[in-house]
Amino acid sequence: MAWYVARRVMQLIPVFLGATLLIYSLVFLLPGDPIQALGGERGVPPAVADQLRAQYNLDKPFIVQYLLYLQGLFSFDLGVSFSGREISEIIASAFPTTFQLAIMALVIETVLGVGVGLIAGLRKGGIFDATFLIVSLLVIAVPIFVIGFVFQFLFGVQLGWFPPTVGSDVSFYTLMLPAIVLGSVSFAYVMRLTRTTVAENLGADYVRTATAKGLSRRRVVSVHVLRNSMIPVVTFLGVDLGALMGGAVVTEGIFNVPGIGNALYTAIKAQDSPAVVSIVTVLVIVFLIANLLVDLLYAVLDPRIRYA
Amino acid sequence: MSTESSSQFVASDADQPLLEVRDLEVSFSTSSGEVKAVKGADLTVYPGQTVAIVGESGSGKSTSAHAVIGLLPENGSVTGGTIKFAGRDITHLKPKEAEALRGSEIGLVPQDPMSNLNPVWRIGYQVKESLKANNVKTSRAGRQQLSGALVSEELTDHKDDDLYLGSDAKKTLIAELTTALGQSPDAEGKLADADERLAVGSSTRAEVRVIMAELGLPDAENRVNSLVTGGSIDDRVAGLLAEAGLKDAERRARQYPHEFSGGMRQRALIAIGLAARPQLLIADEPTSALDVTVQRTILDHLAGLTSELGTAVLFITHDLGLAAERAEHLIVMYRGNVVESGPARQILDAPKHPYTQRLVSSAPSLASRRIQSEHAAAVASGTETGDSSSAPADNIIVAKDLTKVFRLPGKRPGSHTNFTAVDSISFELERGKTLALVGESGSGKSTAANMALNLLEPTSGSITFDGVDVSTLGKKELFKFRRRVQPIFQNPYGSLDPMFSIYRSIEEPLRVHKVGDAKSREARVRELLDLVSLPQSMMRRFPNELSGGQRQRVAIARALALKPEVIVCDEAVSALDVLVQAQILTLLNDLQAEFGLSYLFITHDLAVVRQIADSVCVMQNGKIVEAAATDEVFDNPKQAYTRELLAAIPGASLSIGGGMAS
Amino acid sequence: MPETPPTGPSTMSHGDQPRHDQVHFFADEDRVALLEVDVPDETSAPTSLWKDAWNQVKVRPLFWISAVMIVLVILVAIFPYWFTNTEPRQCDLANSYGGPEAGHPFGFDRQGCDIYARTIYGARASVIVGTLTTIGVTLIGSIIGGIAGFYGKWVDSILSRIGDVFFAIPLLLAAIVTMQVIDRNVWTVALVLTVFGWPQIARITRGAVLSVKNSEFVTASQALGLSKPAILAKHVMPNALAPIIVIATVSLGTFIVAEATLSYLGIGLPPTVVSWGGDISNAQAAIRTNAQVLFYPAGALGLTVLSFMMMGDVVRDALDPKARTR
Repeated sequence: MAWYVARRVMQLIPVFLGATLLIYSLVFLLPGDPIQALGGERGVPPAVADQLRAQYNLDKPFIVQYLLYLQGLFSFDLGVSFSGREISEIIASAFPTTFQLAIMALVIETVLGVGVGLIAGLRKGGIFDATFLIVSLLVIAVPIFVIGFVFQFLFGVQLGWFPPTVGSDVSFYTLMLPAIVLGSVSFAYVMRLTRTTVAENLGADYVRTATAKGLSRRRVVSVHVLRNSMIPVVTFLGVDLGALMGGAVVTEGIFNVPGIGNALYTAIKAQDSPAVVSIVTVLVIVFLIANLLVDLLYAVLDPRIRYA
Repeated sequence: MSTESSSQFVASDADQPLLEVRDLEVSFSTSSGEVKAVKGADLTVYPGQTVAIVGESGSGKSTSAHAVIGLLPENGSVTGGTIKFAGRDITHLKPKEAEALRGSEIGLVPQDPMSNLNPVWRIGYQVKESLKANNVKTSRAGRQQLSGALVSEELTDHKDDDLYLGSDAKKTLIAELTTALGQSPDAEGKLADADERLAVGSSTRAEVRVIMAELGLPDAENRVNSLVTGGSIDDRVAGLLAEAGLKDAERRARQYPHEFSGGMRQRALIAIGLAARPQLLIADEPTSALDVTVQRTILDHLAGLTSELGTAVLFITHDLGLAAERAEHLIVMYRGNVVESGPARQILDAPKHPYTQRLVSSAPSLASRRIQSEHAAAVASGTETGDSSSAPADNIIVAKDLTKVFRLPGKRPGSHTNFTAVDSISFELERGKTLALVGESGSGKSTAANMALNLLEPTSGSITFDGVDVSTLGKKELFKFRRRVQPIFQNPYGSLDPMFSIYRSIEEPLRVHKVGDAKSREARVRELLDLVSLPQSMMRRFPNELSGGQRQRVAIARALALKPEVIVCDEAVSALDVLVQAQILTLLNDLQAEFGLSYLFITHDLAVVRQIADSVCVMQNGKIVEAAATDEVFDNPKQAYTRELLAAIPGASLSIGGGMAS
Repeated sequence: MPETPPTGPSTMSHGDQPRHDQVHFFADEDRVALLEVDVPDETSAPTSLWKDAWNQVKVRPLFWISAVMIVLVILVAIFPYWFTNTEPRQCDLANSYGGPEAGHPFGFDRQGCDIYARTIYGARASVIVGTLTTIGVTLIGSIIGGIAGFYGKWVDSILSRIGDVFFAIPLLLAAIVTMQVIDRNVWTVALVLTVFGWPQIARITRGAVLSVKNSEFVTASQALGLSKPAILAKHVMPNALAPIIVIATVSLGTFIVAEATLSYLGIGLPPTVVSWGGDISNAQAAIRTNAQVLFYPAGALGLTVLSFMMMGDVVRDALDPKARTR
């Protein structure tokens, strides 16, 4: 097991380097002179511009900039954004909110998704199954921003069950609606995956053996079918986290949540390259770590993997 | 006798049937309508009896057995007839009633050990489930119905003599024995003996007393009486696994299924099936997936266990020899019907239904001689038939000191272990003859075959084809060499590309080697289909429409396309039903006679070897342990392993087909 | 532990005499006729995997519904002028938020543009981006995944790591960042989505190839003397096609949504191109008063994606190897 973990961590390193390099290159290709953009319409006097350039290392060759950046990353010094704020401060203040939002979305989508999927899989072909199959298709087909609008309007404005925007009032209650929206598409995927896996595992040989032992149906389903069906679901959740991050940008925008997605969007609009690079890098790191955790969880669930 | 098991059934009387099935009909609802898998089957099993159902695939044997225990798949149901267990009608039970029946009254040992154990739970846990679900008292043996040896008569006075040995108790006893024996010369042997014979969760107090007294523990009676106070459920789990023949049961119980070998998994399944001491055990092809020697050991063990416990066994198998060896009463099924049933001996000696007669004649057993085709007889009469040692052997393939070592990734990244699959073997394949490489799994026979086909490079040693060392061939020559040696593989469902029509599959060799033009190739394909007795209209079809036997024939046609000299048959008939197998073997023999082909025949089935091979090499752990002409090996086996293999052939001890025309 | 008893049928209480219901019985030959062994079925028409799948698919109503919808969407995308005469960009502020009237069934948006026309013309952007991306992703992903899975070892390690690098950056984030850099039009959006979307198909292809690689017909081809690339192209890839097709169909829908999301965020297609995402973005402000401005483009988008998703479901069921037992 220890070697499995070590191997996974070792595989992570080249991916991390490659990804950060890729991000950095993409942003580096931004057109225009970001320094001049800082000055707005009036522009910036050359002397000041030079000074700023030196301050942001923009006068050095690309590779050096990248290495300096990496160095900063490891010492948690993410530099200063063009707007003057410490980027690490921006991220630090925004991250907990997004984290809370993401966890809530994850819990909702997993609990509901697995629950509904289990029932649908057990009664495949029945009314419950057919209904939720259609519901899931609809949820996937309608883009998240439309769902966001509609829910905001319906539950936030019209019915008033939740506040339509979050703003500075961040709490479990205010984040509920955005979390539901954020988790909606993933819920549909989790539900469908669980349904298929459960239906498949119901016909497995070991399930028949378990029944032959004289186990009650409930026990067969919970101990044997469900437990084995969790494996592909866990794998999916790891991959899905990436989609969750993308969706967070949209959702935080609609509900005005002061999280990283919003911060990122603002930074892009302002052509604030240091901020953009840092935020995306942090998100990528989170994604990679989350995937590593998922792989470990997978090894816990499936003993065959531990010795591979 | 009163019993402690929670059986709601009347204590069985040996003259009343335990299981009575009459006119059973089972149907499946498929996309193309209702399909009747079992059409009116009758079946009776008496307490303690072993009954075998024999049939090929599609005969309905497994379906009938599953219907008895109520485990038909979703789309199957009993549409007619009755099933009675101990006098009670169980044909249509409510779920709760069926649950109560399963495990405690009727147990199941399923077929495929890998897929029948849940990979994510430990073995011990899965055995424990069986005990808990059926409310089995695990601290003591209790009294079994019809049991003989477990609790002998003279100990009925001592109330707790059936308490199981706990693992702590065993440790203490061994420790005390160690101190007691001290430095005496046979101490080590006795301690090892004690360790082996004291089975946690299985040995009763009475047995332990006897053992400890025998091995010299002072004051054995009192020590044992005070220490052995019954085992925990975990102890009983270990005990069950030990009873099923699993060594080192306590440690093994904590392992996962993928850490077990096939034989070990099957033993675990047997332990699970018998855990709650059911009156009837259904064994569905319990050893088909295992090596013959393992098969024999496990079946012997199972027979011992069930006779001791007095369990009746309903044995499902496709192997007539196996059935006759293990059961008193046979039932032969064909296409959903029972075509013949009765005492095993009678059926083998005088089968009455044509299907049974065919089965008996096709049974690859020791008694059958090599299938002689008309051509072979004609050819043989025209050539010298003197003993092979006088004429110089015309060997088309010679392997000398062939070795193959695989580098396997080790536990730590970067490390590796060396695995010697084939260890310096030498053999010769004579032109126009058949050489069989026989061995169980892991013997290296397939690796050797792949080297003969030049699909694997030997680590050392050489293979000479028609006088030329194969490793010296350049690319072009290698390509030409391939035309002369072709394979046929085991799995008919994997050896043909599902995307290729039959025509394309057979034509491909011709195409790749640029033989002829489109028209002549088509003519050749037709010719080949005729050779293997398939209708030419087959060309347009795809593999998934053909049966296993038909696919193998297509594979043979493909192998013959380039007019090779050698065909390597890698377990080519192992996956086929008995009758189909006989057909294919006859076909292979005929083709050999007609074209002078040489066969390198890889198989694990010695009985098949009898029917097709001229000479045999027996392989074990990568080495050839014995090599001689077929008759020699069978009449005069020299090595112990060879003898073991021969003895393990099911039905070897019975003589088959005494009273019928061949 | 029990001792091993002698093998052979045990003799229970009845000794050698069988019980009355266990005497030698055999069925009447007429009742159970003995067939010739292994006779091939020459009566039914030959089918291949594709024909089989088609037979399964054509009886499902879901297939026809989604097929009709897809065809409709494609027609609207290619020939918008069949469906409306109004120019989507001819907007008259005077008509701002006007209600439906003759010739303008959906009413007008904030700029005074005909919503119906914009909905019709909006299909083109979505369908083109979706199609281009899917083609690109499928080609690149299946080739890279196929090579990685088939050749294994170093090739696999390197290609998989490269895929992981692109996979590590979530699609939307990568698109957001990249779209800042380049020109924004239909081709570049498709390109960006392709560049960051191929790893998923590569992974699936690699998995499919790995499972086919060890089949005996592949070994048979090697024994025939076929070169490795030939085996990969002729035998392995065609057998890996089924999962690729399924994922491609579903991906089309996902990419359409991705494009709409980018346009909604204002960093996808430029405002000069008529797109559903852009229209929805503009409709944000008016949701309370003039919901139809949101409803029509959102509805069209949803229905389009839905049709591809449904088709994907149907295709998956038809090509599912587990369902194909004979």
